[in-house]
Amino acid sequence: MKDKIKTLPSSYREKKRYVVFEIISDQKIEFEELIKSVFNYTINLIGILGVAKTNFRFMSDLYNEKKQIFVLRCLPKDVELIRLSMALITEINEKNVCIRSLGVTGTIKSARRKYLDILKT
Amino acid sequence: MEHRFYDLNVAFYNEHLLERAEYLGLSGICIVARSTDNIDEYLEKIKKIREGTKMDVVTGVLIEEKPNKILGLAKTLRRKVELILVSGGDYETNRMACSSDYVDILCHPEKGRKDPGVDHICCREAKEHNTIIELNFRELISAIGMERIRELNKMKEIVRLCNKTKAKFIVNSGAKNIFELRSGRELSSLSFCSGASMQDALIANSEIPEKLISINREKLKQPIKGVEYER
Repeated sequence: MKDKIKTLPSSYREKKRYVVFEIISDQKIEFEELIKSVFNYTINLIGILGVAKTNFRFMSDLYNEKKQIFVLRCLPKDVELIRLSMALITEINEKNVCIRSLGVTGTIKSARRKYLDILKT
Repeated sequence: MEHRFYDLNVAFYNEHLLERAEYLGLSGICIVARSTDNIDEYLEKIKKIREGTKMDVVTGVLIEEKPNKILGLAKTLRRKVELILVSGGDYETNRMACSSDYVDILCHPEKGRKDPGVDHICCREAKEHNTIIELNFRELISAIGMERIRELNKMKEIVRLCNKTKAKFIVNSGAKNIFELRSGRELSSLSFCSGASMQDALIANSEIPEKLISINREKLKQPIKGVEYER
């Protein structure tokens, strides 16, 4: 017998939101330093328990290094909290940055579709 | 409905500012001058800036004086600029700004204090005299560790008092460089996270400043208070 649980029915799954962010900076931000800063600033604002409760996830496969765009997943009620924690980032590895949100979507597919021209590598 | 977001406290100007503000989706910004600056020179500068952009550039003066000088300065500047902002922090200053018809925005009332700087009396006065209480985003960015916790706590208290007394509040970036500018939704997220409802948070940075600016522009056109030209 396989050691794997069955996929939950869609009505049993928790709702998700995908928030698309853009990094505005004079210098290029590397993936590793970005992910480190995103987690640091989010934990700094809402704490470890808060992050755990928001179902927070960095969607690394949707990261576009060229256009400096990344996507975060969270619960619908915590979108504004995530937006605020990203807005508080002013510096990544001593590089001045400003992070702005481009939009919020309900699925990865619609995130790709809506921001297709942006997310396409 | 799409909101037209405003940032009414930008404390610097360089050639990239308007471009960045437009990119961030802001419809208008107020490039603030100090009360000690030459106001005529400042107005000339804003006039030149307005020519080269579609953005709504608002004139405003930030008064950083002792409480006894604020009212006099506000009265004289009222006829020249569209917005009068008062730098808060001291309770007497906060109270004076809230209870004055000449002041539009009370900036960072909690600055350098352990309490929010405004009480129920100030908020009630602010509601009566149409003064908007500002939450400064820069104060939050520049604070670290325990200071940031205290700052958020004070902002939460200000929003709670404003909700209770139905006074108006606004979130401004208070930017001193281009990287401190924030888009409208990011500014609104601060008031939402401080306890305001989503609608109030969005209105605070869009409709309230828009209305305030249009009323003040109408007033500037009047030769004497309450008198209008008939075409």
